[in-house]
Amino acid sequence: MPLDAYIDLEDDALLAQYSKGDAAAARALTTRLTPRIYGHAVRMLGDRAEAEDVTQDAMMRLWKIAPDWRVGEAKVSTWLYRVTANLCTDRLRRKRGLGLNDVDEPHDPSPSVTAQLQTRERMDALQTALQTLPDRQRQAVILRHIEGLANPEIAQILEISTEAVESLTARGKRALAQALAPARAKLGYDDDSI
Amino acid sequence: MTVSDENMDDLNMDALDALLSDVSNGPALQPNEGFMARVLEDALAQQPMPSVAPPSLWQQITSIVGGWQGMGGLVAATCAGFWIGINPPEGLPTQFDTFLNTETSVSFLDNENDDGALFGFGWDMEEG
Repeated sequence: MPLDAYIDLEDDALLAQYSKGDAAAARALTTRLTPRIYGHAVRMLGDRAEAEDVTQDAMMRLWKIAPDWRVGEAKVSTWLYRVTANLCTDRLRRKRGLGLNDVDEPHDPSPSVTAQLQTRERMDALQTALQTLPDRQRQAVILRHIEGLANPEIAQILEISTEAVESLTARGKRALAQALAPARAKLGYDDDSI
Repeated sequence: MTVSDENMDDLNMDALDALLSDVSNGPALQPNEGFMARVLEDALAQQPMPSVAPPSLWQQITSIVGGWQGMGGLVAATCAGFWIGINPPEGLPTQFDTFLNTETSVSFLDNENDDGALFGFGWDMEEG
């Protein structure tokens, strides 16, 4: 199969290809899903090394379940987010009070140095504020407002109702606004201009 | 907490939405290449082997006679035998002739009833 053909394939179709022994499907799935899961884990855990462990564990579970995956029944990314969310929750329960300073935000090469610094400060402030939220609120806010998932999908991931997701994200955002109060000036958002 | 409970010092919701939007649309948190390679290594290690379909009955038969070349030779020989059977060359006795006992036999001995010569030869062999 030509490499371009994999771009158009849905995750579950790629997983079926993977189960047939197609190495290119393994590469396509790794490239497509790993960064998303990793990004979510970093935001949840606030630690890159731990996020790598969780991501590798979640992806390993995907590889193992692949032969039994029934195409069209569930969304692969939803299943993977749920596994990741559970693994993150387990880790957070075991280890509280993570240091957040070792979370390296990506550097965007295009903006000026000042803009880069401000972007960096905003990312750090948000990451710090996120860590103050209860686990479920943090998961809901990250999935809804950073990963950009729809409420019904988040409901499936967190195994709660859509109404509960709306409630969690609303409370999470209010808590986030409160946690970001000390950094308000540093964030550089002129309230009047927004 | 209700809207009326919101502290005026809190970041307002529009600013928070702008911040979340910036983060969401900004560069993603990318795993390093070494880690991606490890995940791919796991994927390939866990990947089931490509399934090979068992050979069909026809494939099994042709493989016994040496593939399609062997099968071709077998078919040619069968056709030739069949043709010789229904239209034998002149001089070749047919099954029909054999059945009616009308076939012609040729003897290379001068006198086929002269057993003495043959026996004599036999004695010679015994005496050395």
